[in-house]
Amino acid sequence: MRKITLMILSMILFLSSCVQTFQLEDLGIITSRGVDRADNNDIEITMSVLQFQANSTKPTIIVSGVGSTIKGAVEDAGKKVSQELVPGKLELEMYSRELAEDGLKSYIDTLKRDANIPDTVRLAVTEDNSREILHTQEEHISTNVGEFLHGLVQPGAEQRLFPEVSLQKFARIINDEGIDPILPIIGLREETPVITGIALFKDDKMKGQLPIKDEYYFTIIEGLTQEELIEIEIPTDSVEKYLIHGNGGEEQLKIVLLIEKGTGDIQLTDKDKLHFDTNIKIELSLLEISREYKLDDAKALKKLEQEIEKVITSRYEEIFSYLKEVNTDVFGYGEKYRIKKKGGKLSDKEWDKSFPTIHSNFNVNVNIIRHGTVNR
Amino acid sequence: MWRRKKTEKTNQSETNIFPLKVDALEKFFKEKFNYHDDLKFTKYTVNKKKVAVFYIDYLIEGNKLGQIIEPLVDLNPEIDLTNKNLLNELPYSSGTSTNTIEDIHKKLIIGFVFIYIEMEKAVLAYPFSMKETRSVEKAETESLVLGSKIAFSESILINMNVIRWQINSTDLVFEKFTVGTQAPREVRIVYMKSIANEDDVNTMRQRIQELDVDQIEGTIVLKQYLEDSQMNLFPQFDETELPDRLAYNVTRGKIGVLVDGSPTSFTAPATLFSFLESTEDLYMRWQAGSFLRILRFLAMIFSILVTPTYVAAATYQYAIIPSQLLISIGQSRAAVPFPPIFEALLLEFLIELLREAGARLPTKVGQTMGIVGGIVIGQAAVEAGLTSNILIIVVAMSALSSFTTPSYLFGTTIRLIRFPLIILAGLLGLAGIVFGLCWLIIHVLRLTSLGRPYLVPIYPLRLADFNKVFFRTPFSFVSKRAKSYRPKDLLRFNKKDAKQKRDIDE
Amino acid sequence: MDINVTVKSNLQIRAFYLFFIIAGVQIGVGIIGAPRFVFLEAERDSWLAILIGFLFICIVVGAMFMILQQYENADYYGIHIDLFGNWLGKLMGTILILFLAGSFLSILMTYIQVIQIFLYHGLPNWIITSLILILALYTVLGGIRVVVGVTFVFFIITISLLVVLYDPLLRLNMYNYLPMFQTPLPDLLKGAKATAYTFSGFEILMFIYPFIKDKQKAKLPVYLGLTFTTIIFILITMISIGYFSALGLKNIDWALLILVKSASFTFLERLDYIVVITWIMVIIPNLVLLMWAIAYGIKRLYNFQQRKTHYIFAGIILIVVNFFHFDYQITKLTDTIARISFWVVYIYPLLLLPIVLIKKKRKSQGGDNAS
Repeated sequence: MRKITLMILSMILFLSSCVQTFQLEDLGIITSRGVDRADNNDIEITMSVLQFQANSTKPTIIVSGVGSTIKGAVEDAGKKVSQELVPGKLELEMYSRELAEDGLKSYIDTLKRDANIPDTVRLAVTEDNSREILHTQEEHISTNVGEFLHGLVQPGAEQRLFPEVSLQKFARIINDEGIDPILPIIGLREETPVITGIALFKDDKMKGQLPIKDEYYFTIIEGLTQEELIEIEIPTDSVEKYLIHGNGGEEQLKIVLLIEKGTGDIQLTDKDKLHFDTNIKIELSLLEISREYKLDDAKALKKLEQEIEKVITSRYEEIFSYLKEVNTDVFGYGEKYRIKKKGGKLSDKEWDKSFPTIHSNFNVNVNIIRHGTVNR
Repeated sequence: MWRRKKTEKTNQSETNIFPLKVDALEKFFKEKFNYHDDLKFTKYTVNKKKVAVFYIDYLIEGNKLGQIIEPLVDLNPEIDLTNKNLLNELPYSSGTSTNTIEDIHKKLIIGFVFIYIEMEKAVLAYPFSMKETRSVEKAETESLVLGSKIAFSESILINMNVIRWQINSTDLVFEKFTVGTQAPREVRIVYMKSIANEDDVNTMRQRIQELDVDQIEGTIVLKQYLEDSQMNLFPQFDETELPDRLAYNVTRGKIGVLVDGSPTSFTAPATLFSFLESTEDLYMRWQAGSFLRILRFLAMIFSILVTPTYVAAATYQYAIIPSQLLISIGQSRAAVPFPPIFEALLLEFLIELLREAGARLPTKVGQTMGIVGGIVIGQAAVEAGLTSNILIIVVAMSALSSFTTPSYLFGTTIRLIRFPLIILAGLLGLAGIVFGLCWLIIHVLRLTSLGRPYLVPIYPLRLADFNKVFFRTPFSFVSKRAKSYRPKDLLRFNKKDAKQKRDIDE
Repeated sequence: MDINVTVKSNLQIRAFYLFFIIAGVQIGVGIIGAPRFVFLEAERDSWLAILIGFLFICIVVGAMFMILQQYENADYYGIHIDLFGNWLGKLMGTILILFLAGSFLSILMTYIQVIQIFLYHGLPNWIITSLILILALYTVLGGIRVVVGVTFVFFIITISLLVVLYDPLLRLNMYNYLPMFQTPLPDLLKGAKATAYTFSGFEILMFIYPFIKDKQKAKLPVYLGLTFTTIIFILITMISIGYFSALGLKNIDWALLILVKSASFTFLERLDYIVVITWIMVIIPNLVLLMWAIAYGIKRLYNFQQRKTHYIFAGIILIVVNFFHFDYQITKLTDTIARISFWVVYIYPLLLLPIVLIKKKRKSQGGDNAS
């Protein structure tokens, strides 16, 4: 007993010199960072860093550094601040489009290798370069840049829900056969960072992009959609007889709907010809309609649903043909094919060849389950 | 630890000086007696014989003395004045006769009155001792909201009286011992003959009998002598000043110990969890009782862990703090010039000072002290940049939690444990805390109380006792006594009768 | 030396603690990295491989029980002496002790490696070792009662760590499990063999058996303990398969710890730190049981004081750990121990059983002849 107590005491004396401390006030805690290409194949890294000073109103600073690797660039940036830069609370990492098109694998590897970096880091691609986005003046946004950007890409924070892309998920999908990842594209609009599009990847390389308003087409297939607003325009002619006051001279009927629940399901129907069925089921509640409509009439409602189905189906088909064109299988048709294939193995190369040739039927089923307090 | 008594010191020389003349006796006392100034020596002549009455006046009850002096002086002249006749004549039945000087000495200092008739071979002794005691009062240290508030007093007679009325059973035993070679004190062990485990009673009896000390200062001191191990922090017997708590424990098969002149008692064997029990839990509805018990348990863990965690997070593992909180902690830390460990120790020290000062001062001043200390000093410390305001909240919460333990001794232990943990956290971060906790768990596992494991009913596992220790169930489910203490008789009542249900509308 | 052990009644432990002893000693550092090793061989059907491993263990444990039941109250050391005579028996016992010491070292080193990767990069081996050894020594010096107590209490505490797995459970990709039943049998068997290191540890039964109070009840808790470990193992492996890509899992050293990296509560983030640190509570039961078996064995074989063995052993370990600097050394150590453990833990009891049975038969015949 006494011996052990003595041992502990002597240990403590030794210990105090051995462990490297990370005292909060001596740290610069990186919350977001952006990676850009610099001259001579170097990397420039721009970081939003939390730092603590008494009576300071502005807790974040923006630091940047240049180096041939990410760690090197962070090291370089570290020389410009008095605190030690630590990545333990990294929430967002952005890559410029240029880098994304060349492939992100080495950057992802750095993130995964360091046990201090959380797996919850969100990833994003920037339209032009990330430096500009991190240097956004704070008067344009209510909080600091890091938090704002993180809020943008974090699901649930905004009305707009992007399919969640954490480091873990991205890294998993680039390694999985028969499915390719997507990332949000962040750009500046009126000097405020916003999500402007969806970057489509082939493995770790960015191949194409789609506008952000198509985002729910992706979330529905993932089965993650909840409480999401969509705007749809349908031709007035097709539903004219159910309009109470006639068409009023407008060609398009504008409808705003809230997706209560959207689920997608891909089925392989023909293994040899690679035919798929993509079944989409959406439950909507109607929020806004530009003309008064006979919503209490079952037939009228059915017609409206059919028209919406048409619009959604055609957009799905457009997206699908674009995906085939850039050869990225973000919906994961290959995965559904793999699990039906004998042996359950499918190499990326094999699927690269066959993906542009596959065929899919989109069966969209729309139900308007609520239309608010008025029935017209 | 309790040492073995070498050999009984019985072969003391016994001197018998009787018979002798009354004057010679007086002279003898003057010369040989250490405190002859206190001795009142009165001489009477009754029926032509000289009679001496002697006593120490502040130890006896004056009005009782009058009641024997009067019949003595007005004795019927026809009666021959001898010891035997006098014993018959005086209206007290408690008189005895004694003939050694040593015996007279012992009895004088515990308030006997002696009557010596000249040339008799023995002295008559009457126990008229008067003890100044406090009357029973409200419990001070273990205050209760519900339940009987009577506390033990300094007199063992009153205490035994109170307990007897709490447990009115022929099973209840007060076994008597005397402890202390120089200044002996009366010690009683209290147990239920048909319930308490015989081995435990024997162990306790043996430990008390084998204790060889010059004197004990009170129950808590005796408790420390009797405990299994004196080298560690945790109290191994459960002390209380509440008779109903003692009664509750005794009826559940534990053994209580009372010491004369000490207003507390203790029960054994105890477990870690018995210190978190309060009799109040019994008086509450079972849901509320369970809630309070679990609350206290969590408070203990919380109190031990929260400050070290702050230190570990602020020194090493900043990443475990959520981002939003990190900003506020970081900003308040930025003004502080010390490392977190020093900051935390400083503030904990301050809180301990306040607590100790509050306890030493009279109640009213103490309260003011606490408020002034808490608010004014805390505020000033933050403004002066000595500590961060988050830490003030952390430390205050931890202090508050440590107050919830019903046992004051155990509360002190918890206060103490925090400091090594804070230091470990400051040196090694989370690893230090976990190391410290592991150490504590192993330590507690190694402890025994009266030879019984300290962590029962967790280890050894007794699931059936969980509803007596960690939470409470309605009384109909508690038909058995806790198996952990191995009572002779496990059953409290017949479960069948308690469970019997009448049909609806019957 | 006596073949049978006489144990004082106050040192005996109830049979149901065997559940915690077996489960506690099996779940150790092995399980952190295990999903990868099984997956490398058996791919998506790893759970089948683990089940095969489990069935094999059940057979081995059955054999162990049969061996033990031939004796009144014996352990490995006593049985060796009985079978191989004094000299050879002692040698076998010593080899066993060396194997236990090797397991001890490999568990310790692996955990040190984890700590250094995840939390304290610069902390020297000997400091972590001495911290762990202080706890282990403090436990074993309390005797078998405290050893079992620590195993039990730490098991209960650490089992609550499983809650943290809720987060990867929400992020599973169900398609990773499909199609099922595609792995050929040889690969499944290889996968089952890969579970050897993780599942090993139950050999402690052969050492602790004499201390069990109600021996007729000993079987159920042991098998339940094995089942529990298997369930946990399958759970962690399956979550890993769903959570990582196939390629990813093949390259991840500490799958279990990476699994919990994205878990967080509102008041606490980075639960992986907490899990890494608290894993010490999983390691300690392993270490103390091994340490106890080693010291008790030395006492049985050479009549050397347990207390002294503990101090000496701790001293040696404290010196030895400083020779390990590089990841590959630790990997090599673990691989070696894993390979040896396959033979010592799994095959050896099966070989021993016929010898014991034959010997018993001969003895009873010989006994008849003599009388």
